[in-house]
Amino acid sequence: MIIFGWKQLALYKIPLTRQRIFSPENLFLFIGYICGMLMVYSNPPFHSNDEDRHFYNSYFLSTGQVPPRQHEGQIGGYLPVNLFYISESFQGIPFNIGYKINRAKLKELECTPLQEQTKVFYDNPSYQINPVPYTPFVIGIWSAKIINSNPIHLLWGARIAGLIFYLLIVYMAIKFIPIHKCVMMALALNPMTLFQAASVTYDVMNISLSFLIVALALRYALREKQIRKAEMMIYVFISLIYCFAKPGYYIVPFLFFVIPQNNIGSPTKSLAMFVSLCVICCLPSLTWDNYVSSLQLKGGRVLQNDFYGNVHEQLQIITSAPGAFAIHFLLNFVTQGKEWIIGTMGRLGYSYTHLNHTILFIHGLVLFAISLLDSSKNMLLSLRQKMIIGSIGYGNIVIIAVGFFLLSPVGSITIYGLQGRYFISLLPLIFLLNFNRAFWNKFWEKWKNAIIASYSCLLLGYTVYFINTHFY
Amino acid sequence: MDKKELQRLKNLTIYLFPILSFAGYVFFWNAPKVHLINPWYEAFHQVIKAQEILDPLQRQRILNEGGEKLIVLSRRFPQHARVQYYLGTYYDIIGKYDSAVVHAKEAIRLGSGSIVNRVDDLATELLVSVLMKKARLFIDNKDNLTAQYFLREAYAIQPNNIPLLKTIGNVFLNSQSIDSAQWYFGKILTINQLDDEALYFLGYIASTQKRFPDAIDYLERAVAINPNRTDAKQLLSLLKKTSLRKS
Repeated sequence: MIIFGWKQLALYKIPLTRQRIFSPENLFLFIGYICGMLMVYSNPPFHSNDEDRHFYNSYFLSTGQVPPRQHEGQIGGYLPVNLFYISESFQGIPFNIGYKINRAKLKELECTPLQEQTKVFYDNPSYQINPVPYTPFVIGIWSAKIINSNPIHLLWGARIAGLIFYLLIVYMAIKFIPIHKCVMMALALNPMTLFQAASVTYDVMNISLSFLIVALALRYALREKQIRKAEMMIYVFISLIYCFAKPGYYIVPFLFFVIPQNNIGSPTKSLAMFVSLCVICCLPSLTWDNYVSSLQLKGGRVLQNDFYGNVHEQLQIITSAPGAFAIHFLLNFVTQGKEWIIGTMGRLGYSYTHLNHTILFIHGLVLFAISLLDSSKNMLLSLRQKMIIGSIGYGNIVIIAVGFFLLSPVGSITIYGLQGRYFISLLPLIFLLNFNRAFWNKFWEKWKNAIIASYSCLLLGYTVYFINTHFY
Repeated sequence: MDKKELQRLKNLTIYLFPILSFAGYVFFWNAPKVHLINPWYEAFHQVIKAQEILDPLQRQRILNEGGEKLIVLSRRFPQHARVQYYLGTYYDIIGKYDSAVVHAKEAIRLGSGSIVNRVDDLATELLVSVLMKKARLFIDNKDNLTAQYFLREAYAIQPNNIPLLKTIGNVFLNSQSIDSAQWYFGKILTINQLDDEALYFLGYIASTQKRFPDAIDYLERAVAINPNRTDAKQLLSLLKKTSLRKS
C-alpha cells in the first residue's frame, strides 16, 4: 500500500498525489541521478576542468596530508605512483584532431592496483586551495577504497559522492524555492551544470550551494511570516560554507536583503545579518589563507608563467587610463561573450570540447522561454527585489570579469582564463529577472514538469552520447 | 513618484528585463567581429605574416614594423617570457643570431617550470636552432673550431636532437676527427635505429677505416630503409666490387 498507493502514505499521513511524485524536485533527482551517473562513467578519467589537480587535493585530504607539505623546493603532498601516472596518462590528449581513448586501455588501467606504499611527491600548484569544497570527494574516496582501491575507481567514487552531494543540495533548493522551480530544475539539469556536478571540482559545492542560497532567500522573502533565528543561522551557516567553497562569489549571500523588512523583523536583525555576511566574506582569507601563509612554504611549481601577472601593476595600468580600460572591458564581452555563454551550457572535457553550437543556442532560448513561462498567479517580485537580484547577479559577473582582468598578464587588454562555467552559479539570479505574471497560462502550468523533464532527458541523452562518441 | 507612475514602471519591468536579456543573448551570440588583440600577439602575427609576403620591400617593412613593436614591448614588459620568445624569433628571422640567443635564453629563464602554456620548450627549440644556424655560418667559412663551440652549446641543451647530432658528426668528419664523428652518428642510431643518413655516414666512416664488412652492413641497411639514397647505393656497389676483386 505504501509503495503503490496513490491516495495516502499511511505511515506519515502524507498524501501521495501524482503531483507530489512528479514534482520538479523529484523529477530532478531521478533524471539527475541517471544522467549524472552516466556522465560519471562516460567522461574520461581525470578529464574535466582541472579534475586531476582537484582530485589530488581531495586525495591529500583523504590521507590527512593537510596542510600542504614542504619537500625540498616543492610544496604539495605524496601520491601513489600508480595514481599519478594513470592520471597523467589522460592529460593533454588532442581530441580536437581526432584522438580517442581506447576502452581496452581503460579496462586495463582499471586493474592497476593503487599501491599506496610506492609514493611520489607531487609539486602541487593548487596547494593553497582550502579543503572545505573537497569534503564530499574525501567521503567518496574513503568509500571507494573499501570496494576497490584502483585509482580510476577512486576517481569514480569521488565523482559519485560529489554528484550525490549536488543532487541532495539542489533537491532541497528546488523544494524550497517558492517560484521558478522549473527554471531551477532546468538549470540544474543543464548539460554543463550536470557535467560539473559529475566531476571532481569545487564547482560542485559552489553551484549547489548557490542554488540553495537563492532558494532560501526567496522562500523567506515571499512568505507572510517573519524569519526565525534558527532560519537566519542556517542561512549564515550555508553562506559560510559557500564562501569557503570558491572565491569570487562573496556578494551572493547578500541576496538575503531581498527579504522585505517586515519578514526580517527589527532593523537590528538586518544590521546583524549584514555584519555577519561581511565577516563571512572575509573568513576564508582570514583563516585558511592566513594559515597557509604562516607556514612560510618556499618554492613550489607554478601553473603557468609564460606571462608575468601582478595585480598591482595591472591595476596601475588600468587606473592610469580608466577610459581605455572601460572600452577594453566591454569589448571583451563582445569578443568572448559567445564563448562564455557556451561555457555555461556545454563546454565539456578539459573545457576544450563544445557541444553543437546550434543546439546550445536553442537551449539558451529554451531556458529563456522557461524563465518567462514559469510564473505564479499569486506571487510577485517587487521592483526593489528585482533590482537587488539583478545587481547581485550582474554585479557578480562584473566582479568576476574584473578579477580575471586584474589577474591577466600585465599590460593585457584581453581577459585571460575566464570561463563561462564560472557564471552557472549566477544563472538563477539572471533568470529571476524574467519572473512575472504576464505569461501565466493553464496549459503550461499543467504540463510544465513533464515538458521540462522530457526536454532535459533528451538534451542530457544527447550530451552523454556526444561524450561517448567524441572521447572514445 | 506617485503610485500610478510606480505601477507603470513596474509593468514596464515585466517586459523590459526579458527584452533586454533576450536582446543581450542574441547580440553576444552573434556579436560583430571586433579587433581586440594583445599588442604582443599583434606584433608577432605581423612578423609571421611578413614571411608570406612575396614583395621584398613590403615584406621587410611589415617585418620591421612587427619587430620594432616587439622590441618596445620587451622593454616595457621584460618579465613576459612569451614576449622574449617572440622577439627571439624575430631576431632569428632577420638573421641577428646573437640577439636571438639572448632573448631565447631569457624566455627559458623566465618561463621554466610551469605546467600549462609552456614557453620554455618553444624557446629551447628556438635556441638550439639558432645556435645551429650560427654554427653553419662558421662551417661555411671553414672555421670548424668556432662552429664546434656553438654546436657544443646546443648539444648541452638538447643532447638527443637528431639534426644537431648530424651537424656535429659532419663537422667532425670534415675536420678529420673520425672517432668523434663516429660517436655522434652512432648516438643517432641509439635514438632512431632507422635513420638512413646516420647509417650511410657510419658506413662511409667504416669504409675509410677499411672495415669493409661493417661498412657494407651499414650501407645495406641504409639502402633498405631508403632505396632512393643514391650516395649509399654508389658507395655500396663500389665496396662490393672492391671486396669481390680482393676475394
